[in-house]
Amino acid sequence: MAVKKSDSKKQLRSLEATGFYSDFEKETCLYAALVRSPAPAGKIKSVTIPELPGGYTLYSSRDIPGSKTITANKCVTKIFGYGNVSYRGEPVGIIFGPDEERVLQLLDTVNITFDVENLESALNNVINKQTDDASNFKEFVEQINEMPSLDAVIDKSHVEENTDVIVASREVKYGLYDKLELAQADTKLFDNADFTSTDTWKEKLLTPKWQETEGAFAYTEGDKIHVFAPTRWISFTQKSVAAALGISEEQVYIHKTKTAGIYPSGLARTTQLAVQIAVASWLAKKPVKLVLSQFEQENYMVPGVLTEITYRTALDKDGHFTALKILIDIDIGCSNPFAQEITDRIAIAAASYYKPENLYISAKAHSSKNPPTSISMQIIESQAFFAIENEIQKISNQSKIFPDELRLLNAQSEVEKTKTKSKSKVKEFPFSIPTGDIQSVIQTALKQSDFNRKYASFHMEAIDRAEKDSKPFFALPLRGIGLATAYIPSGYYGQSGFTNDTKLEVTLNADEKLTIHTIKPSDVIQDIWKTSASEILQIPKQNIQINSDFAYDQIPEQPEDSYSSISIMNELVKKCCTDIQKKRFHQPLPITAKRGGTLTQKTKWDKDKFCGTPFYTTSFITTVVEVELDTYTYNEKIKGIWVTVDCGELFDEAAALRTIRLEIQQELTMLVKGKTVSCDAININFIQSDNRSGQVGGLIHNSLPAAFSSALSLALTTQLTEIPCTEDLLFQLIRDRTKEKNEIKKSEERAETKNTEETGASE
Amino acid sequence: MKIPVTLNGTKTILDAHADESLMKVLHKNGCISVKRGCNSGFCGSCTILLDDHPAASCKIPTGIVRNSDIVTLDYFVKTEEYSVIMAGFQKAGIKLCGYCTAGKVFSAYQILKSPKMPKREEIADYVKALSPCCTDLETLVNGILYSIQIFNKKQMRG
Repeated sequence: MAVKKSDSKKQLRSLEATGFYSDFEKETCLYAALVRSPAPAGKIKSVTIPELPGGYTLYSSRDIPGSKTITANKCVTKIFGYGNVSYRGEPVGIIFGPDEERVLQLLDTVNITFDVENLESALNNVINKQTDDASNFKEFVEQINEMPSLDAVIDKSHVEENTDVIVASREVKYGLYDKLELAQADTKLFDNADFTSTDTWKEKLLTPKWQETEGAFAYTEGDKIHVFAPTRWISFTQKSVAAALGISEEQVYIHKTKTAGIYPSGLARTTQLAVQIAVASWLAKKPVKLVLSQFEQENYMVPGVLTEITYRTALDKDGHFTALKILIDIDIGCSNPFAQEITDRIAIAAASYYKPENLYISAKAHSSKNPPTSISMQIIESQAFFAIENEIQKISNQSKIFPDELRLLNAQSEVEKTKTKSKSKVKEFPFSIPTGDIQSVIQTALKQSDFNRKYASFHMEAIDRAEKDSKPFFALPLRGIGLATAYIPSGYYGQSGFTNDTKLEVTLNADEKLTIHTIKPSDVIQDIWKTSASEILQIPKQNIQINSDFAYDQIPEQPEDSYSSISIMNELVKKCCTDIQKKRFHQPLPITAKRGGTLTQKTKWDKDKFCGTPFYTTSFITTVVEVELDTYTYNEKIKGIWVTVDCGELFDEAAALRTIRLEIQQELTMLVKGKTVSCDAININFIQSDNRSGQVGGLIHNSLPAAFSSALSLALTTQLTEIPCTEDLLFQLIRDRTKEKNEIKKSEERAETKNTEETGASE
Repeated sequence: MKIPVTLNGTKTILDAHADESLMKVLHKNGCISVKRGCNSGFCGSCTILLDDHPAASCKIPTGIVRNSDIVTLDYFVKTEEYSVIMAGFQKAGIKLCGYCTAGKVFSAYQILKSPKMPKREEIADYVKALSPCCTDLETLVNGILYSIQIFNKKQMRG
């Protein structure tokens, strides 16, 4: 038995991140680079290199000893591309050797041969049929003309006819949309609406250049392989490496490394890199390291999907949304294992917390010839918030109803409104977002920023400027102010790929030391757990430790982000400690308490009907941004950012404050392409409501871009529909507005002249 | 080519191409505190002390550092100044991610050894280009100000 114990101890894998993968080095380490497909389509025949110096190796798909693909959530990804190419830049091989510079030189000499046999044979036929008699040129031309066209000759059986395939979709209908045909409902809702607006919104995530680019390091030790990678999905990486090498999972040691990225993904694509390096190291029996270049990072590892959201909004004169029609187009690249979850969450967020009288959402995720995408659980919804908040700001400008009033008027559903008046039978709104005190959060931010006064003043000034003078700029800087609200959810009940089986084990040992066994969270959350446990069990904080060691076959199956739901985990820690405290003086130590995510909460969300309360809790934010635009240099400057947050019970205000401030600073580097927007003042307030405590990370990313673009739109007197903005985009917007204005002026003048002429003639 | 330098207090010969980035060469030579960030000399991840001045090693070709005195963070952690800086950072609640540490510590060191007491805005201006990967500007400035306080107190006692 004792032998068994020591064996199982040896097999423990720590899930705690240590060091950066690029810092790990071993003697005789070889450096790798990925051979990438130069074309976005075609059938690969071979990947070869004419001359390979000693010590340098090139491997492609055919060299992989085990499975040539990895499968996540039924989404199959080739480890090295073979057969049909999926996208330009798809890795089709790996080249490595002792000198990094030489490897990069050799990379340029790699030959990727595509299947052109059919094309060649067609041309050969023509050449073979050519008669030697050069004078018989006319006949030769006829022969060529008689040949079938290349389109008919080339074997297209392997060519993907349609790469643009819908991989996930979601449709939500409420109100008239649920009762009538789409076109009928549209006519009824929009034709006689007091105010309508239609626009398409795009938000793209810029990759910060300061972070460590992705990659991996691997070395072999007898029949074991050690892989160092910034993965956030260890079980999947372990399984994929074992399958690719055709070995047991027990022989695979995945060492999680730190990541310096803002929104780390570390999921399927990181696993693909880890497997590629593991294959190279396993076959060469030497340590191999791969560090992606900045270009590769930006082009192939950018985390998010590309989303275009089109809103059609109808508003009555009292400021109620009579209809909200939302069409969402999501480009997931050539693959994404989380396509359905992304589609669902963007669809939910597209309506935010607003409850229009009639709602139609159609979200479709399609594949394309772009590189595969990943997911950052923390920021899935940001593109939807950017779209809806700008749409509201736009229609607020049209209807001349203050942005805060418009938001608050539409935060309550028809059912909630009628409940207070009479008991009418109106169908429940599909989504019930557990937000806290929305009104207080919005009002505090407005008060702090003096929003309404500034908004009215900038708005009047903008209208005046647009009406009186078509010149785009004055000498004075242009000013604008924007407001955006958003939430960040914790604990999504509709997970498609994994069960939300969050688990936690707490043990109070005989020496009165407490061990919390789970994946280690951030330092701040660790501190919160320790404080809670120390209060419940009356033990010093230094006696509490968090253990992240798991046996190789007991590593949690779901990605780590599923564990980032701070509120659920906090509750579990508290419940475990309370359980221990109850037993503590009745039974001998050690006492262990185990808890998992409770199933009863999941019933609030109806997965099949796609309605109910989709999240365990949310944190709510209101962000106000005041912007100044230099009329000569097109330089944006933020005069102030006012933020109010309701994240329920606040465990560590100083840490939350630091997180918000840091996120603001990070966001300022991503709003405008190629530069950091400067900011004069930042004001942050917290409101503690009865709502369950939620996370603060990600709130700024969900709200600041929308507030910034709204402010900039007001300053420019034209609508900015995408972020990040560029000087070119601003110039184009101004030019278009001026052009439009001039055309209207001209047509008015023409009409006036015509009228005068007609009057003259009649006289 | 062979390039003689004093690396972390020891006379060393660096074996590198003259145009190879000093960042890569130092990292290969075991100085893992020198990290690749923006590769443009702004973010600070590759900062070293070149003849006692902070410099972005990603922009320095190895050929030009012949006979220079190079100190990386791997060695600097043993100095008293480092302890002072980290004490100041800790007081401000800074928890560095480990990737940007060299840039932030060496910037603080440069300010610390300046004979003039810098204003808050001057410090902010000096460090604002550093990567905001783990620490916001205000907290970093607070950390540096605390470091200056601790440093001055120590010197007064000395």
